[in-house]
Amino acid sequence: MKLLTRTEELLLLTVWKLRDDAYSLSVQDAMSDLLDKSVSIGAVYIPLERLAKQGLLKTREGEPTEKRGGRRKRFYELTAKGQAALAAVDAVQRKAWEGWSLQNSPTLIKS
Amino acid sequence: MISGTPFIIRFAERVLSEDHHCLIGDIEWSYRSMLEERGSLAAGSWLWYSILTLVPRLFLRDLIWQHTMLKNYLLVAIRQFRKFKAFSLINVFGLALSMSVCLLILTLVSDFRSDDGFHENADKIVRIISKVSEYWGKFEMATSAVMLGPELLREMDDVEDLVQLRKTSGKLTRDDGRMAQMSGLYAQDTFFKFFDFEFALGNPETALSNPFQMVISEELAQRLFPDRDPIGELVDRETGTYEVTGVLSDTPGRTHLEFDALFSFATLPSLFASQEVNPLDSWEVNTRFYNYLMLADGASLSRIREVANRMGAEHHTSTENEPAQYALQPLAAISLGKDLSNEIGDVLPSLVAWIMSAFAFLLIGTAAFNYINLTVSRALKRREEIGVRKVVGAHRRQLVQQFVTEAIVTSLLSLGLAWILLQWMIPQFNSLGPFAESGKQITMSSFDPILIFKFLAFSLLLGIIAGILPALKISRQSPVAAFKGPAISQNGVRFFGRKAIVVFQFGLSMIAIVTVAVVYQQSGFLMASDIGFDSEQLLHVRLSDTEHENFANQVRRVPGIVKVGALSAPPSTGSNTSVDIKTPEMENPMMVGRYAVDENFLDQYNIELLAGRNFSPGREADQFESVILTEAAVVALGLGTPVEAVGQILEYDTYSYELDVAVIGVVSDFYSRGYDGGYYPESLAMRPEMYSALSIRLAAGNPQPVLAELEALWAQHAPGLPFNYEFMDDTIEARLSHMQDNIALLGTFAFMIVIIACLGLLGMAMFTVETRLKEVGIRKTLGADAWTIVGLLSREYLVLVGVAVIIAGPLAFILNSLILSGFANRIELGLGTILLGVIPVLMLALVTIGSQTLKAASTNPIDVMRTE
Repeated sequence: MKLLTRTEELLLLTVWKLRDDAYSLSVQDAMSDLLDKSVSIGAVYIPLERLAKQGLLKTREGEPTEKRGGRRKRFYELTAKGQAALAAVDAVQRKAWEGWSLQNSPTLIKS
Repeated sequence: MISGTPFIIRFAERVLSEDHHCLIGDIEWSYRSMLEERGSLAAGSWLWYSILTLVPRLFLRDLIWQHTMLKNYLLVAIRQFRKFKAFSLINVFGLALSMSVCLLILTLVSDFRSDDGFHENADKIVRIISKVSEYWGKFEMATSAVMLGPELLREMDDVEDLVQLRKTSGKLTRDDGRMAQMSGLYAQDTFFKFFDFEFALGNPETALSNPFQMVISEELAQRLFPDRDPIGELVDRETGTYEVTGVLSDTPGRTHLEFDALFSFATLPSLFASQEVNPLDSWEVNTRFYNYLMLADGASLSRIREVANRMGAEHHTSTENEPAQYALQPLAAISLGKDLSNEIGDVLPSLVAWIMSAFAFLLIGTAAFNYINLTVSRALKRREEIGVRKVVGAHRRQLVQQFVTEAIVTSLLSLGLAWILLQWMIPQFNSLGPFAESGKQITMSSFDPILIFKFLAFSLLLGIIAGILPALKISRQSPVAAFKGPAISQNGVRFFGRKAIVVFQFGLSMIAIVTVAVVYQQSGFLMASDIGFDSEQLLHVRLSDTEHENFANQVRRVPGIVKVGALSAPPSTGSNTSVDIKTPEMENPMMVGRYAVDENFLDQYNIELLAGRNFSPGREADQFESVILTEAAVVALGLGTPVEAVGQILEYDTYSYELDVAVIGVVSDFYSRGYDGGYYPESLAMRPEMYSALSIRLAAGNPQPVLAELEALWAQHAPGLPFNYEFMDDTIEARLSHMQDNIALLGTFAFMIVIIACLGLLGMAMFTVETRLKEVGIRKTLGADAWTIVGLLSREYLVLVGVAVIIAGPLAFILNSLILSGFANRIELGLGTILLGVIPVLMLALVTIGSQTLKAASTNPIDVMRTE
C-alpha cells in the first residue's frame, strides 16, 4: 500500500486525537498548534475532503446553528482503512528510525 | 438576532456545491467570532481573502472531478466557439493583448527580482547604504564610509564577515603591448565567500589575497589573451603591474555586480601611500567604497544599523554637514529597489516597477471587464439554450460551471496567443534604449516550468473571475422569461458601474493618443531645430590617454582633413562633467556644465564668440585661470550682458581643487547635454589633462580613404586598442531613432488601450441593441426611420464618450505640459494637438456603436415581433 504523505499523516493523527470534535476548524487549530505556524482553513479542508473521498475518513453531519448561518458542521472520523494506513506509517517509521540517536550517529555534522 | 450574512458568503454559497456548505458554515462562524473580537475591518478582510482564495481552488476541483460533465462543458464551449467565430476571436484577441503586456511586465519584474538569487548565502548578505545631505541636496548612495565595515566586523557578533569593494576602470596592457578596456572592482579575498562566481581557472582562496593580483572575466580573457593561458600573466595599468590569478566562468545568473576584472583590495594601501590624506582612513567620505556584510545567525538588522549610525556620528568631525545616516539593504533588494547614486550596475527602481505593475493590472482589469460585458450580451442570444437546460433539470450551479468553463477556455486560448505576441514583443523591448544599453535583457527561456505554471495559474484565475459574474447573472433567469425573450433589464449588467468604466477606458485612450501625438511632434521639432553647432562631416575619435598632441599632429597632416581639435567630450552626447561656480555676490555656488576644450573648439563647431576672446595656447594664464561661458551661463550666474561678463572673476570649484578664474569670453549657446534639446549653462576651460576625444572635420567627399588612413595612424599610436570613432551626424541620428523607438512602444501601448476601450464599448452596444430589439420593432412599425433609431440607441454611449472627452482633455493637457516641461526647447501645446488625439478616438467610438445600432435599425420588425 502507498504510504501517506506527511500532511495526510498529521491530519489523520489530529482527527484521531480530537475524537468526537474533529471538524475543519478544530483540526485547523490543532494543526496550527502542532506545527507552530498558522495553517489556513483551505489547507486543512481540501486534504480532509480528499482523505474522506479515499475512504480513510468518514464524515457525519452535526446540527446547524445560527452563528454558522444555519449550516451544519461536518465531523470527521477515522475509518478502519484510515487506521490501517496510520499503522503502516507507524511500522515503517519505527523500523526506519530504530537505534538512531543524535549521540551515536557515525559522524557529527557541524552546521 | 444575528446581523445579515455578508454578500461574499452568499456569493460563495451560490458558486460552490452543497457539499462544501459545511465549510462555508465554518468560515461564517470564524468570521462572526472575529467580528466580536477584532472588529469589522480585520474580520471583513480575512473573510474576503479566505473566500477569494478558496473559491477558485474548490471550483476547479469540483469541475475536474466530474469527468463526464467536464467533457460536456468543453464540448459545448467548442460548439459556441464555432458558432460565433468573430465574437470569440474578438474576445480572445482582446484578452490576449492585455495578457501579453501583463506577462511581459511580470517577466521583467520577476527577472529583476531573481537577480543575485544564485549566491548560496544571498539571504544573509546586506549592503550598507548611506544618506548624506550637502548644501546642494540630499543623496542616497550605495556606498558608505570605508572605516565603517571593519569596525562593525570587529565590534559586533551580528556581523560574521565583510567584503569591501571599490569601483575602478581603465586600460590594461599585456607584455607585448596588446591592450583592452575594462571596468572593474577592487575586492577583498572574502568576495568569493559572499558571491558564488565560479572559477574557470585559478584558486578562489588565494586569488585576491596579495597586492597586485587580479581575476578577470572570461569575456575579458578572450579579449586580452585570445592566444595564451592568462594565469600568471603580468598586466600593466596606470596603477601598477598585476598578476592574473584567476579567470571566472560566465555568471551563472543575473547579478547587480557588473565587472570585467577584480583587483585585490590589498593593493590599495600601497597606491594611496603617497597621498597626503589616505582615502582608506576616512570616516566621512561615503562616496567611494561599498561595504557588504554577511550576517550571523540571529543577527538583528536594527541593532547593526543603530551601531553603524552611532559610530558614524562619533567619528564625524566636520561642522559643515550632518553625519551620514546608514541603513542596511538586503542583497535581494538591490536590483529591484531603491534608486541610489553610485550604484555598481543597473537597477530597476521599485517605484517604476510599481507603476508598471499597476498599469498591467489596470489593463487586465479592463480586459476582464470587457469579457464580462461581451459575454453577458452574447448570452442573451443563448437564452433558449439556458431555458431548455433549466427545464430538463440543470442545476443552477451546473450552468455556472458551463459558463466558467467557456471563460477558462477563452482565457487559455488567449494565453496561447499572448505567448506568441510575447515572443515578438520581448526582442522589441530588449532593443529599446534603456535595456539595450544596460545589457540587462529580459530573458525568457521557453522551458522554465515555474514561469509557465505561473502563467497558467494566472489565466485560469482570470477565466474564473471573468466567467463567474456573467454566469451568475445569466443562470438566474427563469425558463419562462428565457423563452419569452430578452427580459434582462438594463440593470442586468450594471457591474461595478459599467458606465464609469467606459468613461475611464475612453479617457485613458484619449490621454494615451494625445501623449503619443505630442511626443511625436516634439521629436520632429527637435529634429528640425538648431543644435547650436555645425555637425556636418564632423568626426570624434575617442583617445586612449591624454597624450594626444603627437597623434593630433599626425592627423592634421592627413589630406582631406580640415581641422582637428581636442576636448573632453563631444557636445550633445550627454556625457560631460560639471563644476561649482560662484560669483562674489552669490550665497551658494551654482552647478555649471564643464567642457575641457582647446583653442580650436569655437572654430571647429562653428560656435559664435559674442564677446571677449578665444583661448590662446601661448598664454600661460589661459590654461588655469581663464574660462569661457555660454550665454545661458552668463544669464544663470547673473553677470549681465556678454560684454559686461567679460573680465569678471569667479570662484571655480571642480571638487578636487578650488581657484579664482577670469571670464575671458562669452559664446553663443549650443546643445550640450544630449539631444533632448535645450541650452544649458556651460563653461569652457583649457585643461589638456581632461581631453579624451579628438574632433576631426573632414573635407566634403568620400570619407572612406581618410578613415582608413586614420585607422592606420591609430594602430601605430595605440596598438591593440580599438579605433573608436563616430560621425556626429550618426550620433545625433542614433539618438533620434532611439526616441523613435520609444514613440513606437508608446504607440503600441496606446493602440492596445484604444482597442480594449472599443471592445468594451462594443460589448455594451451589443447588449443594448439585443435588449431593445422589440422596442425598435415597434418604433419601426409605427414609422420611425432608421436614422432616428440609430440616434436613439447611440445616444447613451455618445454621452459617455462625451464625458470622457471632457474629463480626459484637461488631464491630457496637464500631463503633456508636464512631459514637455522636461525639454528646454519645446513645442507649444495647443488645442489642435489635443483634438488630434481626441478625434480618432471619437471616430472609432462612432464606428463601434454604429456597427451595432445600424444593424438593429435595419432589422425587419416581423423577425423580432412574431413571437408576441
